[in-house]
Amino acid sequence: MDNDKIVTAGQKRLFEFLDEELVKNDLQSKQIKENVARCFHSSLQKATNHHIQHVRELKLTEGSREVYKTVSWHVWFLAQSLHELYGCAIAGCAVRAGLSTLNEFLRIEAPNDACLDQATLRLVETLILNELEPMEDHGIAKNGIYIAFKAAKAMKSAKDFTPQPLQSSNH
Amino acid sequence: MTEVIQEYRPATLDEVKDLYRQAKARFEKEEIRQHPHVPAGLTNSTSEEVYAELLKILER
Repeated sequence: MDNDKIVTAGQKRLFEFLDEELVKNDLQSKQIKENVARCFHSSLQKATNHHIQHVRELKLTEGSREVYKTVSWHVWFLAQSLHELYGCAIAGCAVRAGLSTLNEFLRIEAPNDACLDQATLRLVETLILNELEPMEDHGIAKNGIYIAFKAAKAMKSAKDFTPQPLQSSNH
Repeated sequence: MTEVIQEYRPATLDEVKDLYRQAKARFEKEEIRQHPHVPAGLTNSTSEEVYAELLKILER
């Protein structure tokens, strides 16, 4: 797999959903688009830097770059920078665009066309916006977004699951 | 730090490649900042099904 293609396509789909959200919410002024563009690209840069640090510090073996991580982190940094400029209105668009992107990928690979329902997506959105407000004790950030979808992807039927003792993650 | 793109569009494949190249170069010589808890054998991966969809997104 081509890792750069994974990232490029992931952020392209995020951008498409973001554009739809901005149109839907009538947030189409030249100034908004300029600021969204700047925030979108600087957030991709931050997410890239974070990815490199993440792989080094966790000593990760990269089979391939993981699109749930790259999109989750990009969305978080994007929502953070848009929130600084505009508060929740436009940050919320970014969050919903990100969740739609991740949910679309989830639906492709989860069994039986499964994905997160609207109520759960709304809850995740609310938790992210709480974190930005800031009401961190009621919030989740970049890794929380990732693990919501990673966990959903990893769900197995209890019939297929063989319980095993958990390994300690301590060094 | 690279100059941030100002255009209202997603990044291109070449721009993404550049970001990773620069980030790798930037952090290569830095000390590891921290040693987080991590389970053995942790890997990154995107599934074949999602990868196929990502290629379609890139082509359109």
